[in-house]
Amino acid sequence: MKLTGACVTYVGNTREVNQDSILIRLSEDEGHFFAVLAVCDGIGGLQKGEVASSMVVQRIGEWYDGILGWLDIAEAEPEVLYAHLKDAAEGWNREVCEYRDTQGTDMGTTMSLLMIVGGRYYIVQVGDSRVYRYRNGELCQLTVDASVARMKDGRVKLYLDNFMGKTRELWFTSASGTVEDGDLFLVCSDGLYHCLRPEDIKEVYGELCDEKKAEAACRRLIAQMMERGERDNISVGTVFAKQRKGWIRKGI
Amino acid sequence: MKNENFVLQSSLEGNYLNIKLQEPVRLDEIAVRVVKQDCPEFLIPFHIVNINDSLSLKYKLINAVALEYSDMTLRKDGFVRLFRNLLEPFVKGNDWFLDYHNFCIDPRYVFLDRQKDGVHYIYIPESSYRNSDEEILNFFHDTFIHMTITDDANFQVRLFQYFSRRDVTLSDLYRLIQEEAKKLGVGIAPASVQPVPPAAVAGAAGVSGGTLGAQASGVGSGKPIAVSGYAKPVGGVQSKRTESETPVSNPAKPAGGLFGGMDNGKKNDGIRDDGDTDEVMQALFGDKKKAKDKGKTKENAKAKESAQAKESASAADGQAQKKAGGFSLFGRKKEQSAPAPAPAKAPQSVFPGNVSGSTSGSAVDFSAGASSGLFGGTAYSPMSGEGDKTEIISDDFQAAAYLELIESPIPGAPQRIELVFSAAFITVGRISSDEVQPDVAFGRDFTRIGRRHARIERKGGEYFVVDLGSANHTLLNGQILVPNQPYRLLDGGELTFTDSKPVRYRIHL
Repeated sequence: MKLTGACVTYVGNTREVNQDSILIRLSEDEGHFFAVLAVCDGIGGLQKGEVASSMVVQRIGEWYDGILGWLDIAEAEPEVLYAHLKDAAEGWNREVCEYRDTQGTDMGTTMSLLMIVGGRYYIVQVGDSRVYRYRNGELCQLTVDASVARMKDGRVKLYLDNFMGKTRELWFTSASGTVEDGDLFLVCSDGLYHCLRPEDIKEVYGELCDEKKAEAACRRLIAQMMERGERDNISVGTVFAKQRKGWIRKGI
Repeated sequence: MKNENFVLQSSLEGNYLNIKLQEPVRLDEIAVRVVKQDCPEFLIPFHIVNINDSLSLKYKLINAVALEYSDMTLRKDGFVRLFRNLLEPFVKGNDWFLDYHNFCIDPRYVFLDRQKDGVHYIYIPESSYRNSDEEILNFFHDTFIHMTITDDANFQVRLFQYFSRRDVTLSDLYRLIQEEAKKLGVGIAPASVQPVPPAAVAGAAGVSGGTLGAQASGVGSGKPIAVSGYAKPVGGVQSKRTESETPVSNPAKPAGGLFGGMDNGKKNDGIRDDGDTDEVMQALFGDKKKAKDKGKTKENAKAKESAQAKESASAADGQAQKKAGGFSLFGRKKEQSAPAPAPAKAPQSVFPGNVSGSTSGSAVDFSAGASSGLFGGTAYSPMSGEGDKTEIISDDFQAAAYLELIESPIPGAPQRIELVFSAAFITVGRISSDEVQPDVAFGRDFTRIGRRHARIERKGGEYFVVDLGSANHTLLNGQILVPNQPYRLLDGGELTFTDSKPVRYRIHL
């Protein structure tokens, strides 16, 4: 199997600070891949959202590099790695909490982390960023938003219910499944999905599958959301999976 | 077989199979005693657990592969060996007064011990768990058809044809396997040389030198003892004839049923004289010490840990025994710490109503007031009326290998980790919200221990630890281990989980 991907984050038109952080890592060993794609959206309503999100993303990168230090990807045991990932996520959450305590201010970030290893994907989800999978022309949301709806001023507003740095004991949701030929995974912050329509992905699918064009395609998506009026920070990352057997062209 | 009554249970000390017994419970008392006092090597011992007058049998599963999950592709010699091992207990069972119909033949619970080249069955001494002969034959048939014999296709075809016949009996099959084994030079214990069954020799004067030594005779009257190997524990243990024979005339004739035609001099039924009953039972069960001395020429004389087997009566007294851990399956001889107690209670009628039923010789009469020695200590007392209590009849056993806590900065670490394997390895980790928990689970307070922190494996009698890539490491004798590498555990060494806030264990092998 071969994986290709890209990720882009942009502050957007209106905000002064980009509180999103995004990361992608891909490693291969003789056709076996170990990949991580994650987005963290700092809580705007709290201070220092960008510190929280960039701190978590940095830790994710360090964790990934640490794993590569001893892992033999070809012989990796996905379930064990998944257990390590969850342990690490708990550690990152504790760090955010400790930082929050030393700073004396509330802070937090969402995290949507997608890991692909051993032909399977594994997700750790905290907050309202999302992981989608595009397969056979259908866009499917793989994560559940940690949001609750409340009435405010006569309107229904969605409030974030969970994030890294909320409590010392981390609550997260998880999911896993198989990766099949032609699957396209998409990880994004809420800046992207507010105005997103499935056909948008369909249009850029071909480019997202091409490692040379994927990054540009991500930027195009971001621009499109801004045209539609999105004012928040926008982040999107994609990973495309292809079986290495010859010339399988995936149309839509 | 009522599968819904089979419950697997895992604890830090091992994996157990609990079989809940349905009311009304009719246990084969003789079999129970045999298994408890001197469990044959092909059976897994059990304990009877009484919870609020509801009975379960509890088996501690050994470190072996279940037939269902074992390798089904074999060479011919391996196949012959396996089938011989599968069949032999059915043949040998008589010698221990066991009814082969009560072997559990669910392939998930038939265990193959490759190291010792043996098969271990679960024996369910309760009348509702009988398998019919047909079911037993189907078990062998099904086992066979799932196998592939790699180096002798002809043999496989021949066996297949053999199984397709309608009149196949286990004895024929056994003979066939034995012949094959002889041809292959696979060492067999011929059926005629059986380990002398426990108490059959005890006190019985003039044991006929006969092939199995199972025909204890000369007790009093010189008539063959008719404690039938095919006792059906229906309505209590009875010595009875089996389905076919007219016992009187031909005591030497083997019983019918699945072993029809098998002439191996097995113990068979004959008549029993009423007057001999008590003496028989006394001889069989009364004097255990003598039984041991008279000995058992067991095939395995393994050194065993000392197990203080409390008499079952003490369980009836309501003492909960604390188990010390693992056990060694082979050659385990219980040291009877106390002689058979005097009849503590008039034997409750577990078997409601009657225990008669066989013809002329009256059945061993277990109703109140009858035989003196047998129910001297009832194995359990379901009607004890002592209120809600969990009674476990247990033996203390020592683990073969274990880790003992030296120190832990965080309270709540397991004091002792038994290295008892029901699978290839033991995972060590922390409790989490995950569905699957590690075998040895540290509490949530141990935040530095990972969900999958390390693994302990056993290969060929040696133990290894593998760090699974935990963030805070595993240490052996103070040295941080490289992830995914097995390191051998040595007795007296120190195994530590995490290098910050280390939880240290002493290795005992």
